Amino acid sequence: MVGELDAAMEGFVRRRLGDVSGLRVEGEARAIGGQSRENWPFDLHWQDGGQSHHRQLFLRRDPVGSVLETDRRVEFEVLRRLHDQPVRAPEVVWLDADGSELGRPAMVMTRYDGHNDHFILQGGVGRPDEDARVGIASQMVDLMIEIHALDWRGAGLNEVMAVPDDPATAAIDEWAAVVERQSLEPQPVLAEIEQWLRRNRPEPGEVTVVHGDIKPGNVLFDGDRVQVLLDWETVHLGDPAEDVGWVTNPIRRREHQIPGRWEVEDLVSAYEARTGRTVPRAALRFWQVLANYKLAAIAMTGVRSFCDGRTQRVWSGTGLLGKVLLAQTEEE
Amino acid sequence: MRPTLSEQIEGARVVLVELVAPEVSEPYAQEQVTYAAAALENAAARWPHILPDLVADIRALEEVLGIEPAELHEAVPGVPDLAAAEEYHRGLRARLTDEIMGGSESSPAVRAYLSDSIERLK
Repeated sequence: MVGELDAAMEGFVRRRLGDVSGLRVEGEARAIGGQSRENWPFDLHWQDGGQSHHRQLFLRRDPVGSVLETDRRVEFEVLRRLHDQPVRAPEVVWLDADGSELGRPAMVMTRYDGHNDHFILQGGVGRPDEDARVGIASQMVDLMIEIHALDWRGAGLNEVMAVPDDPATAAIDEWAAVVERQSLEPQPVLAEIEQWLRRNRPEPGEVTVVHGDIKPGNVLFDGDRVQVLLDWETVHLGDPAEDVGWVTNPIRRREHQIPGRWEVEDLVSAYEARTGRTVPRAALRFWQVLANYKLAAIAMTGVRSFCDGRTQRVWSGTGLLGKVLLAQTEEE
Repeated sequence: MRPTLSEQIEGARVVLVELVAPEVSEPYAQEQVTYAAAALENAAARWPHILPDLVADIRALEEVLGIEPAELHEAVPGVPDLAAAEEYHRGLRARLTDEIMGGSESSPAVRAYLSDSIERLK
């Protein structure tokens, strides 16, 4: 870690562990990936009651300029409530909700062994064979089903997340507000897409937990096994078809599909067969369009951060997403 | 004039990719150098087209909005002033956005403009 953060972290940890001796925070370099948060892996060593302790942890801190403005307190409280639930979510340890201790809002989580591979379904780094990749794709569906099956009332998630009467309208309103807030110039393409979404929104149905960003790049794998799903910052209550639309978004097919073996219909059929739910194809199309509208809003947030001088990443525009969105919303 | 602005930008990109990037060991910094190099590549390719593409987009917008073509302020005789053209363009885009947000389905001409404008303004 950088010196300043190292010192702040030591104080942060000391206030939580109390009177322990031999406290050592051993940080590594900031990890890559994740445009929305800074990720800092670190190890904690201390002695207490004559015993030595060691924990592998991970700091997720808001950057100065993010692509996604979400509340660390909500993510932390959701994950805290999910800890004893049947879902592969990471364990959260400590929170600095307002950034008064670590400079910016942050939370500390358990760091898991395992590898992260965005394009594992295409072979990725480990080069699993095709049958193994189909097995991984199938596990990704199980992971999504696990989330949608959560008893969110029982887990108290409605205490920290809004329960929408109309999930589709709530999703459009949420992301249209981001577009409005982050735009540096008029956005006629996104206005066109917003109007299409409003004209084509599905009727309200079942409300479940929606992760909002399921992808291999947010999973830690143990060999060919899906171990834990990270990055819950867009978690909310909504329509489960939203996650299905997200993972079948045509521009992310390389992350979620295997040509000829695991395509959109295979994925959706597996989801329907294993859950007993039906995903109407018109609703699926709506959520696929919403997925790219959301990505455009996120990219615009990045553009604004860049133009305001709050991020080191040099952003270009959101033109490609606009092209895709116009093609997705052409009359069939 | 040589080196042209495109050549200077490309030269800066080559320095980043060939001299700086190999010396950067921290993964996060490496990633940012890659994004910066890509932005320079885009800038070198795009900047000569910015003014003509902007004027073309203004004319397409005027047509789709049913407005008479305006006389653009000129920086020097025969060459539109970029800042003034950008401001006028922004006003036209805002007007089109308002029309779209009116809620009725857009005409094929509007959708065609939107698609073409992405190419012109990328």
